[in-house]
Amino acid sequence: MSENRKQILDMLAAGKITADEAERLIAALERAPGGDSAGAPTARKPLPKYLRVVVEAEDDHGADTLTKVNIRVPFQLLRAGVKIANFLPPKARTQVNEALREKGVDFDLNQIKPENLDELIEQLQDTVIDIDHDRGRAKVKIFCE
Amino acid sequence: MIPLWMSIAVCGERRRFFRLWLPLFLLWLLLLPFAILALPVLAVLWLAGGRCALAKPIALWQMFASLRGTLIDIDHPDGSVFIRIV
Repeated sequence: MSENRKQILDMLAAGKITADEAERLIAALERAPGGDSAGAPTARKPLPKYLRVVVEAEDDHGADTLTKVNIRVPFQLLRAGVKIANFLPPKARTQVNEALREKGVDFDLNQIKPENLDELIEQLQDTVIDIDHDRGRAKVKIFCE
Repeated sequence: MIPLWMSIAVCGERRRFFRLWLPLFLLWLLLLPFAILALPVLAVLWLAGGRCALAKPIALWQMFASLRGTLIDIDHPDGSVFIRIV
């Protein structure tokens, strides 16, 4: 017996709702997507496999010339890259962090770990970054698939 | 799964086209005997040093094996590059 159905029957037994109301509630439960299996976990969406970056930019040559970039990177490759980054000597990582900071990127390579990346990928599932710069002269789209 | 073939196409400034199709599965077949020969050495390293002893080669192999599905397609008026790994 599902949790929702049990609650309805408990309310009926306590006299909080009438039999007609209980019947309507149970019927509504059965019609709802997922039906009576309110206790069962909803199916999780499969994790995305690729990171896509699509860029379209007008070239300086003129409006007729477009530069198009279409990149698809498997997330497995990113995970493997993170594992390899862990083998970098600490001195090299510090130098990379300093170089990034000089360019205005406040990023710490030491914080990238495979478990953090998995969490990031899970959060990126429904994320779409869509940038339309300068009235269509440059379009950037980043998403997961 | 390991990549099986790679397709590269490069178009230069003067419309010079270069296309290459690499059957990577042949490369794996060529490397297979060396991998079999290296198995005892790897087994000894594993037993002596544990998983940490093989962490770097495993990470490198994982990186190479995860290349499958990579697509790079850049189209510029002065030239274009297309790389696809399947």
